[in-house]
Amino acid sequence: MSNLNEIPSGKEQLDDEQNELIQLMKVGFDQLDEGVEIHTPSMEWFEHMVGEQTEVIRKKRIKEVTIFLMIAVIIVSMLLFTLYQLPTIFFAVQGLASIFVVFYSVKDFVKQVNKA
Amino acid sequence: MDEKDLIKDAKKGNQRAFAILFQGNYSFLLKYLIKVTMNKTMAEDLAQETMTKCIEKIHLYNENSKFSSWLISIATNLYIDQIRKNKRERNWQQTEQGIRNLKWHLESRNEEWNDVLTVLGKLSDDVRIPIVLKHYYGYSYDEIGSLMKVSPGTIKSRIHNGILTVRKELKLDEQPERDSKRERATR
Repeated sequence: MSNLNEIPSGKEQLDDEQNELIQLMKVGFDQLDEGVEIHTPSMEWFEHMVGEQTEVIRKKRIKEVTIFLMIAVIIVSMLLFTLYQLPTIFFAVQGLASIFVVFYSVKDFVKQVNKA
Repeated sequence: MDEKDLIKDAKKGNQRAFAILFQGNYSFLLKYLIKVTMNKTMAEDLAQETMTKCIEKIHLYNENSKFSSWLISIATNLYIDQIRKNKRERNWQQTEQGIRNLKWHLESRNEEWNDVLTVLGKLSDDVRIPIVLKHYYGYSYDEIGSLMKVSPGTIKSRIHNGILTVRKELKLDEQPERDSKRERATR
């Protein structure tokens, strides 16, 4: 009878096995931390890397801003050209853009309501 | 100079502050990435990309969490993005190679290789990452969810299923031993 009391219930056994497994994982990860040699580079290496990357980021930003400004100038020029030279096209584009915005907003709203 | 001051200086563009922060956290970051990728070379590449991203996004760091945790979240998202874009298509052969290398590293230093690591390496990244974060780094389901941009419920079920899979895989070897133990107990 006493032996029967020692047998763990299904849930207890499952929890024990789970804890044992988690412990085993922790031990495995600890061994990985200790066993795999990690070489931390010198401060000079880090400083050089930061300097290099900062320069790359700066150049990337300049490129992005330039592209953005060029596209903006092209769009504004086209709009001004149509406004003064082809006003019917300008107003047609404005009308189509407004219809598109309203249609897209309604569609998005309906989608959200249906989701809820 | 403490971490907060270094972060303040880094935000102002001080390169030396960045270098001190990175040097202090490099080994922690690399160790995390090795556990997640199970591949040392991939982990080193990702650590460097994480630092680059950190320089670019330092102005977005709100200092609510530790700097190391912020690095972990950047590294995790970079890794997930790269897998999604198939830049680093993980196939079993590649994973096996990574695990073999780690095993060699451990054995060359007379450290024992744990079979749990092999089984964990076989799991998909979506499952292994939350398991590492939850059971090794002690993150909560909510924290892992917001870090991986997935609901905490999904994270919970992924961890649960992952643990079940690992247990199933390992149990195959232990079954006869367990059965004999149970038999002895019922006698």
